[in-house]
Amino acid sequence: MNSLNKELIALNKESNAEQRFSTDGQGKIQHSVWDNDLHFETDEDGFNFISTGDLRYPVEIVSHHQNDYELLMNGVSYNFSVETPFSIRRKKLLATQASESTSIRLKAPMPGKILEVMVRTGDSVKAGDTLLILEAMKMQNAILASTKGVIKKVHVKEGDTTSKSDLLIELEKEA
Amino acid sequence: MKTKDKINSILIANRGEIAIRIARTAQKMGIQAVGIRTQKEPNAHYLGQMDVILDFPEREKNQVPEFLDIESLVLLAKRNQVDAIHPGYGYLSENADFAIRCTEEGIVFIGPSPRIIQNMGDKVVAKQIAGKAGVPMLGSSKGSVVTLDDATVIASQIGYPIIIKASAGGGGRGMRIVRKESDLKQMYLSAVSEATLAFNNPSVFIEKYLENPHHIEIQIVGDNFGNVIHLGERECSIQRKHQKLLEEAPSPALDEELRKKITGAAVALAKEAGYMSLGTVEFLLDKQKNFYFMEMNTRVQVEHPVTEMITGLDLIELQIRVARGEKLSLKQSDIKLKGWAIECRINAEDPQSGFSPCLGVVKALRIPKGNGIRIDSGVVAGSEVTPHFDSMISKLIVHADTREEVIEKTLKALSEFQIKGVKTTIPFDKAVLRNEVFRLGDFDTSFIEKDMDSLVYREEKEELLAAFFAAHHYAEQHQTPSLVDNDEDAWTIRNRLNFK
Repeated sequence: MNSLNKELIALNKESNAEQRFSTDGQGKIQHSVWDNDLHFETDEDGFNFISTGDLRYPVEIVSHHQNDYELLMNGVSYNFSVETPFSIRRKKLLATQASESTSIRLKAPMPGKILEVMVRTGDSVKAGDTLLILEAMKMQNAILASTKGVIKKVHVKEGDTTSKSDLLIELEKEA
Repeated sequence: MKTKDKINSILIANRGEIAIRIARTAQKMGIQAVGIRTQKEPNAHYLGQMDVILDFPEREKNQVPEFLDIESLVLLAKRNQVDAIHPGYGYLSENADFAIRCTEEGIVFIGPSPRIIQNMGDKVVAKQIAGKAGVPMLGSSKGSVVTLDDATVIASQIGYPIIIKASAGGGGRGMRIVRKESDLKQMYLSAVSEATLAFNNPSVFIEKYLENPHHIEIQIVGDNFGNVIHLGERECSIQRKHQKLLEEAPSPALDEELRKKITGAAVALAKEAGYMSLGTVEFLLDKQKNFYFMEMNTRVQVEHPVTEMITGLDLIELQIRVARGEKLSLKQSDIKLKGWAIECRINAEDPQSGFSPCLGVVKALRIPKGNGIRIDSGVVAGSEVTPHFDSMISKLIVHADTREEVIEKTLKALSEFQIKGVKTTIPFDKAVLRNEVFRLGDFDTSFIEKDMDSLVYREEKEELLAAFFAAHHYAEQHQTPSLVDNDEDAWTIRNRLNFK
C-alpha cells in the first residue's frame, strides 16, 4: 500500500525530530537534503553495519513492530516511528485531541524481586516519584512514575518475584 | 596465619572475569586453578579457563548464594585436597569467619589474617589504628550522641557541614547533612526519630561532611616480616551512587609532594595494622588538597589492573607469594610508576535509563586489540547476562605514556569494542573521556551529576544514520509486491542481513 507514497519520515519519538526520505517504491531511499552513498553489510561475527564515507557504525534492531523501531547504533538507543506524510499529519492531529486522562500500565523492565512498594491504590503521585523498588542483578532499582497521576491498582506486593513484562502498577494519568 | 611452603592448587571462590584473572596467574606460577561450577551458570566462560572444575555440592533450596556459603566452600576445598582458597573481590573476600574456617581446616586463605580483616572491617577500630599511625581523619563523635546539647557541642567542634548517621545505620535512612547550626535541632531530632523507626535504635553519631571530595586510593602490599610498600594511587572519583565506573592511575589530582604524603600515610597505617597481604587504603581529598582516611579494603580491587599497567607487576602473584610465606622481594625504590592507565568497566546497564541493568544474551562480541590494551572479560559471544550476578561483564584497561595519549587510545579502543544483544556502558565511557572537565583532570565525585550534559556520547551523524536505517528497513518491507519477485538488487538486504 505504501508503494504509492514517495516520501517517508523517520520520527525520533524522544526528541520529535524528523528526517525526511524519498523512496522509489522498490526499497531504495534517499535523504531529502543529504546526498549519500550508503552501504549495509554483515560481518563474519554477526554484526550489521551501516556505512557512508569514513563512517561505519554497528547497528542492531532491538525491537520492530509495524512502523515502530528501537535501534542500537554504536550501543546508543534510538526510537523511531517511520511515517508517511499522511500518517504523520494524522498522528499530530490525534495528539492534539488526546484525552486528558489515560491509563498507564507499568510493567517490570526485568525479572526481579519486589523489595518495597511505596504507593497504594488511590495515592496521588507526581512525575519522578518512586513507586516501588525492584531488586535485580544485586541492585536496587527504583521504579518511578513517568507522569503525574493517581494509582489505579497495585498488582504486586513486597517479596513477590516478577518476570519481565509482568504488570506492576496501573496509573491513571492526570494533566 | 597458617602458611604453607608450597601451594599446588587454589580453589577460586568466585566467578566471572576475576576468576579468570586469578587462574591466569596461578597457571603462570605452576599452580593448579580450581574453578567452581554453579547451577546458575553451568556453561559460564570462566570455567573454560580452569585446570579443574568442581561442581558446587547440591544443597537445600533457599540457602545463601553459592559464593557466600562458607561451610560448603571450605568442605569442597578440603574434600578435594586443595591447598588454598582465593576469594577474589566481593562475596567472602572480606569475611573474617571465612578466613578463620579456612585456617582451621588447614587451607591457606589468600588474604590477610582474620584479625586484620576484622579490625579493618570495624570502622571504630580501623579509625583507632589510623589515629595511632598519625593518619589524618575527618572529625567525628567518639561514639553515640544521645542529647541535642551533646550534638551541638560536637558539631561546633568538628565544624559545619556535618553528617548525622544512625549508629545501627545503612541505606541512607536516619542520615542528615547539616550545613549550619540553626538547622541542627530539627535535623538532629528527625534523624533520631527516623533511626528509631527504621532500626528500633535512636542512637546516632556525627561526622564531618565533605562536599564533593576526590576519591583516591593507595595500593599497598605487605609481607609476614613487617615489610610494607605502596604501588602508587588510583583515581576513583568517577562514581555513580558510590559505584565506581571508570578509574585511572596515576591521579591528575596529585602532585609529587602530595603523592609522597598520602602514600606515606597509607604505608604507616598498614604497618600499624601489622598488614600482610595485598590491600587498599581509601582516602577522601578535599578542594584544599587535605586528605582523610576513609577505609581499608583487605582484598584485591576490581580496578587493580591500572596499577599493574603502570608498575608492570602482577598483583595477584604478589598476593599468592605473601600467602605462602615469602618475603617481599621488592623494595620501595624498586617501584617505578610508568605512564598512565585507564580502566573502563563495561557493565550491562543502560545509561540512557538510569543505568538500569540489561539482561540477555551476548549475541556477538568484538574486542579491541593492540599494544597496551588489556581486556579482562567474563563473557564471550553466546554468554548470557542473568539476574543472579552483578552487571559488570568486562573491563577495558588501556596504557600509554601520557594522560592525553591514554584518553585518545581508550576512545579508539571503545569504538572498536562491540557488543550485540545487551546494552552496555560503552557510550557512557566515551562521554566521560570526551568531556572537557575530565580531560582537564579537574573533577571530583560530583562529576557525573554536575559536569556531564549527556550520559552517552553520540558519534558523528549517528542519529541521521539510525533514522536512515529505520526508514530503509521500513521501505524494504513495504516494496511494491509485483517488483519483489523478479527485481532483487543490491539494496535488498532483508534476507542477507537476517534481521530478526
